[in-house]
Amino acid sequence: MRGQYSIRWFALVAAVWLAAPGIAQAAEENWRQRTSMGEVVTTTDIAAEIEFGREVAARILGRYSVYDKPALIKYVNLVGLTLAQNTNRPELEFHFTILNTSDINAYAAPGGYVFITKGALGFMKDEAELAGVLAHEIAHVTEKHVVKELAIKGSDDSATSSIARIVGGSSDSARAAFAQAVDKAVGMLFKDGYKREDEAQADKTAVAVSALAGYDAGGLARYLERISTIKGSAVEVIDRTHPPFGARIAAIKDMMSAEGLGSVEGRKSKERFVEAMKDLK
Amino acid sequence: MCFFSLIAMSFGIGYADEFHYNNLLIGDRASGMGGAYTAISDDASGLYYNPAGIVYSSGRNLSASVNAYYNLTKTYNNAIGSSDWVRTSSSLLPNYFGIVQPLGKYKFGFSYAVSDSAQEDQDQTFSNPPGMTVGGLPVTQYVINFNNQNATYNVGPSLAAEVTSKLAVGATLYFYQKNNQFILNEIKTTAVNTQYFQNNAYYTREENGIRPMLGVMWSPIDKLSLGVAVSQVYLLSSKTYGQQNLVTSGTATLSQFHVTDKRKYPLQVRAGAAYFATKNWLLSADASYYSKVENPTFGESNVSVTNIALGTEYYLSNAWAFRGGLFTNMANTPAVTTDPNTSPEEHVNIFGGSASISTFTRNTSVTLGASMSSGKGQAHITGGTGIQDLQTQGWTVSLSSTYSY
Repeated sequence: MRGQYSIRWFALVAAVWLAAPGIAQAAEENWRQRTSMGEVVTTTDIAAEIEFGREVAARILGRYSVYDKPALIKYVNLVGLTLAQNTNRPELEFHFTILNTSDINAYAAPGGYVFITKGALGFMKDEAELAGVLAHEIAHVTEKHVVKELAIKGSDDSATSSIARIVGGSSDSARAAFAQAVDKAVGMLFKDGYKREDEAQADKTAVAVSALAGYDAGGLARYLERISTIKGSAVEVIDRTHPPFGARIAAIKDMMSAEGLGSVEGRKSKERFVEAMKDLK
Repeated sequence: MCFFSLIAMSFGIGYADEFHYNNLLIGDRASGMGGAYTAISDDASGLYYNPAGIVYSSGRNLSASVNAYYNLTKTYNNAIGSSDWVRTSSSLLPNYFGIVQPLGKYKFGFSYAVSDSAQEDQDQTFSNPPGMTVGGLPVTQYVINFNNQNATYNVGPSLAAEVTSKLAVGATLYFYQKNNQFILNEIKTTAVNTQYFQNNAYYTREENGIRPMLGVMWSPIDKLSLGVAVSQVYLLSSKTYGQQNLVTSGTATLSQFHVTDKRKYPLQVRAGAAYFATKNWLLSADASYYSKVENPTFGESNVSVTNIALGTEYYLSNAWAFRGGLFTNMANTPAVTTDPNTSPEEHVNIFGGSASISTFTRNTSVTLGASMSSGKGQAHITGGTGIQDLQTQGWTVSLSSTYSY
């Protein structure tokens, strides 16, 4: 019990410590930003994020079919929802699905839609590694990487907005912009990738969230080390859309070392993982 | 005497306000700040002032639209005998639209700006104007009707790129068009039916060309932005046509001209500085230089001009912002002289101030703005050697909106 409390404390401190420089840097970089443009999130923004994520998720499912193994999908949701409880987005309902492809990758759409491929599951050894990968994707959602990059916001039906539409002669241009944004989001997932700093933030957040949920914090690094030796089409998309494995693994290990997470024994739940993977063919 | 001065020889009529370069403030935010925008330009309005700035636009797809009413009054003292003559020009038009869109590593923009517009439609009758004669007889009635329409359009694309996190460059390629038409009828009658003067003049001018603009924006330190933009109009085609029928006591003289010579326009260099003091408060200053330019075919000799603008923007809250500015609109003509053949029509330096208030939602803003300007100088608009004192008063009211998606 006390050991578990220590793990959570370390992980929480690590997460806050890691976030602070980013927040300070963001403030310096945005000195052009005016007060009116500050981030004010409303329920319509969250609804827009979810609707947008649903559209992106539909595109992902248009590319890959669902791996129809209900028990395995239920297991992945169990792990994912455990992680999601330790994030800062309680308003989102996360959904986890397995994609029927041998590609080694995982995807996240805004609003809480997370996908992991059959190929990726096949290279994992324990539940901590699965938790690390899912936590990385959850971090893309909770940190709003796509939402911020594409400025996804809710619609504005205020009187001011109505006047603006009359003065400017605008019609339903927001709908066209929405469709454009979905295309760009799909491009980010399959072609261009996230910004390097967003991937780095997702890795660090994944380690922190995994530790907070009680998992061995080194799961993600172990998994990345294993798949870094794979060549071929299975890793084509992940190679194109992510930073080099070596750099990612080194950054994760540096963080774990600095926060003392490497010496903390988190659970791996290998037996449960192996039992669940019996459905994986 | 060149043909153009024939049109004006009886009663000099200027072709709208050709004597200044800063007649209309352009843009949603910029017009409230006196036009001091070269070092800011981080929204759709920036396409007109310094395209490099759109690299720093905060939204993904922006558009801005300005609908404005302009009014300019010129009072020529003792122009009609010992009476003053007042000319009023006004127009209501959407004078700016711009949109910015990310395009890979670049930002693409498209804008439309009406940088000058005037519409005069006057119908005046003066009875027994003091000091006015025809053939030595005093004029009993002087009728002057004229209609003058003038507009200058700029429309075209822009492209900007971030060179480093502190340096951006951009370019706008405007297609430029100027249309001017004026129709003048003057009749001076005396007590003797056969002694009268009549002047019917018709003038049109259509110019088409390009106006390329190159801009740079640099932030040497945080919160300070410096910007420079250089542009010049190059005409590709020009048609100027004039016709005048002068009738003096039954003797008519008809003159016509058709000129395709292309005017030279001045080189314009805008330099600005902006200090983003806090997230609520912004200060800016601009200096705009226009080079000297001679167009002897058109009887024009313009001096170099430097205009100054100062602006500030303050956010009262997330939902409201106030802007204020001061600006100059200096004359591009040399001083007025008594020589009717060489004197410019007017020389008056104009000073003005602007203000606007904006209300914001997360995606949109609506801005109500106004500006006023005035100046005192001299004019030479009548034949002969007389010089008139000239006062100008101008004001505008604008309503604009922006969107961010």
